[in-house]
Amino acid sequence: MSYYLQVATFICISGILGLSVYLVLSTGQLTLGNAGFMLLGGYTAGLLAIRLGWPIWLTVPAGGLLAAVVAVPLGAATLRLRGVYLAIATLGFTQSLVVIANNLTITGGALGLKDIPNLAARLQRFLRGVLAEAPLGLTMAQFANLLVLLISAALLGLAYWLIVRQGKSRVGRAFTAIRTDEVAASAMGINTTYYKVLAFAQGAFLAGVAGGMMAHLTYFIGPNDFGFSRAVEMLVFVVVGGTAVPAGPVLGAALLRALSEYLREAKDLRLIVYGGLMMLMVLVRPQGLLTPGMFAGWRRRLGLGPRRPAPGKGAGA
Amino acid sequence: MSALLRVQGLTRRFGGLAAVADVSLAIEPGEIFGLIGPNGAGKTTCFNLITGLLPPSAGSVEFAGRSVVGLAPYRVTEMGMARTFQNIRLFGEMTALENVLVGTHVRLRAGVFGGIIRTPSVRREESAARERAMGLLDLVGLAGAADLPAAGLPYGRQRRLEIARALATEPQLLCLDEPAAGMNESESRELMDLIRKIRERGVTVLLIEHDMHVVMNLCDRVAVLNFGQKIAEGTPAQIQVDPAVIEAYLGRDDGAAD
Amino acid sequence: MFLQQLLNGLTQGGTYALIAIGYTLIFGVLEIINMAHGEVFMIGAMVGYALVMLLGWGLVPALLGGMIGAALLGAVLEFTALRALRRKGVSNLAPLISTIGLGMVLQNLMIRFAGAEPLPFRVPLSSGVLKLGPLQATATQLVVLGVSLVLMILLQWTLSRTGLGRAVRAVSENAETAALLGVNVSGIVLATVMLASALGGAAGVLVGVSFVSVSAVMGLGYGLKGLAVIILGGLGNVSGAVAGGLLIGVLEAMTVAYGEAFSGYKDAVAFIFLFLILVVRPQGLFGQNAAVTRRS
Repeated sequence: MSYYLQVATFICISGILGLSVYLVLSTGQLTLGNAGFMLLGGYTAGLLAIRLGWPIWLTVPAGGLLAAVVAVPLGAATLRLRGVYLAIATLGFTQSLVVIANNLTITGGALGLKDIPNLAARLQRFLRGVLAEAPLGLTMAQFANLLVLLISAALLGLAYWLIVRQGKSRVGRAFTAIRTDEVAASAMGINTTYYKVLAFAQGAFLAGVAGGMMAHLTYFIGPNDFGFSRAVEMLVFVVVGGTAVPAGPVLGAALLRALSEYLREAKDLRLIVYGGLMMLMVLVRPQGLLTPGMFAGWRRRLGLGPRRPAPGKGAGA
Repeated sequence: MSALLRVQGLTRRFGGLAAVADVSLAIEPGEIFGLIGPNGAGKTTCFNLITGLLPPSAGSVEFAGRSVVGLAPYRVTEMGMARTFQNIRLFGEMTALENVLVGTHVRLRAGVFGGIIRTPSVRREESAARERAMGLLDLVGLAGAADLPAAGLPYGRQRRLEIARALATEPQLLCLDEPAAGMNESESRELMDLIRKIRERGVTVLLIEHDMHVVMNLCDRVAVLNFGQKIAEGTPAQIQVDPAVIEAYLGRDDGAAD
Repeated sequence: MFLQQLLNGLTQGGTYALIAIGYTLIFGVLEIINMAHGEVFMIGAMVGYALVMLLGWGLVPALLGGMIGAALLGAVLEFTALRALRRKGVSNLAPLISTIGLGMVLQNLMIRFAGAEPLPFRVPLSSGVLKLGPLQATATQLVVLGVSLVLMILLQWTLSRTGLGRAVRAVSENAETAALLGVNVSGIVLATVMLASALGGAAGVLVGVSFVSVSAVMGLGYGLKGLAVIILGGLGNVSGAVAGGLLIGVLEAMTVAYGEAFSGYKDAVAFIFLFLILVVRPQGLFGQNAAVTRRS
């Protein structure tokens, strides 16, 4: 039981990671740097908890915030580059962070950080203090894991809702315009650099939060948890699930993480499947499984009209 | 000093070749000003230089008395110059309305927080923007197509949509790059009416055109470019009989562009 | 000491340059960055390993074998993955995503096959050391540096003096025009991909010789450095790739030599340097404006 709860929890974290890549992709940029931001968030949260005793609800956002702060100058420097250069530069960023984490003593070097306060364990201790027995006939440990899942799902839900909301606003229109035709967007008065850096920093924040959560969900994190394969994995969630709607990366994360649980012993096999899926999707269905068109279709079928503005005045001013 | 757009000595070199050489223009507020010339004369390059898409190699561009050289294109649009593109650059997957709404971006203020937490003032701003966008679609005759994806629209309607989108930025100067390209006679006449209506709303218009019928009947003044240089300037009647212009066009038919 | 590190750096840098040239040649004719090129490098090394350690061949046949093996792999890639990407009107991110996937597949297939651990790769070479004044060069270094230089010179000669080279340059410049002039563009693309892959394969064998080992995961680090080099040197610019590769090699050697504490960061040097350069010059050290794509 606890096992399935944990798998579901990791699916939620993966969903957040997928959304972090999606957000940057929604301005037409391919980033491989969110694994690096995840590393920053994870180590920050872990170190704040271990060294300064900060509670988990502070360390995780702090991790996200640090990642976002680092993302701004990094983005400003690299976002002048065309897509291809950006992917390479962000991949280099991720790899540089792995190397640095491998070498610094404060990060524990190659051995990483261990004995990070664990969210489930903390909750369990807390619950034992206030409840005589766990509800729903679960053990205390299972109930704690359930709460962890609910927290992770809530974070995922919040991230999703924020992205959907933003997508329908002036900022969202700017993102889409930049993704579709950056030159035209600029000519229409959109400060493309600002919005690209904004998306990049927002993605970094999400990735940092995911990293912080990851640190508190496993007792140990190491540099190799955040390298190239992690960066590619996040990307695959979006490429498979859907590149143009926020539900896409969430679906992709769910499907692929479930698949990888099924293939758990063979990490290399999993990566072969991911790589193959990326190649396949690009050729066969570049928009991914979920497309905006599908949503429009479902709206029609449910009898909800397409989104229209209130009938405005006719000709004129 | 009253010119809305003053271009002096504008030059742009690519390697050893000058695509635009020492071009000077002064466009008065309220004018409809035409920029014509054979293919490859440098007209679109001029647009790109004026609107900040391309930096000039030399020369100055002043809009409403302020220099715009070196400004990013979005800043130029903020200052009041908007444009359309020769090859139509709409946001294909977005609806017509959404395309025009993108045009409103520069005059709205809602940021990330406003987008997520819709305060009453943000909601008011959004609904005002939508009303204005619908009004512009109506002006160009596309109100019925508001929710259709832009890429699916017929060519002529796409051109008009692009104009509506540019107008949404509330420009003082609207730069149109071959708006009549590919249009038949009745579409061109509708376009001319539209441009006149735009002028009536207080927008100055600078247009590149190949369709001489449009140029002669619509423009107050015309400048002629050839090989990057201005070879003539005047009223349509004047340039029609200018020997340098005739020579530049020798053997060319007037009429719609390919 | 400085000169010694310079030599060490140039030797390593020569291999970076070979990899980078591969990327840049492919970008020149395809306008795609083949993110799987690092794995082509790795497979070249593995072929060399198999020939030397399993069949007992010598250095030169192993080198040629690695190059041929890599070239064949390149041909397979061109026919399967790369060609398909050109047919559709895909976004500029699609080839990137697809070749990243391809690289992952190749790397992990090799891990399945040979494991992820380093495999010892000992080529019969004299253990002599050549002394030139304050410098010492081991036979290994001389071989690696020498072969790299020879290959680069051969490539330069091919590009500037042969019909093939002219055709490659024409297609890199403008494929449509080249086709109108009678160039068999698909053939040239294939040849370029194979050539680029062969150079990558050579680099793989040379690196294996340098470090006395090969592994299924060696492609990632070297591939990334090759990418850093081409950004530094400008996409599509072969001399830039050479200069950039040598420069990065030297910078890394300096890091190792002058900071005991810093030697672990050697692998990050390439990218840290790249970021610093990009902040100042977005087009890299030698490239044209990175924001302007070649065809627009």
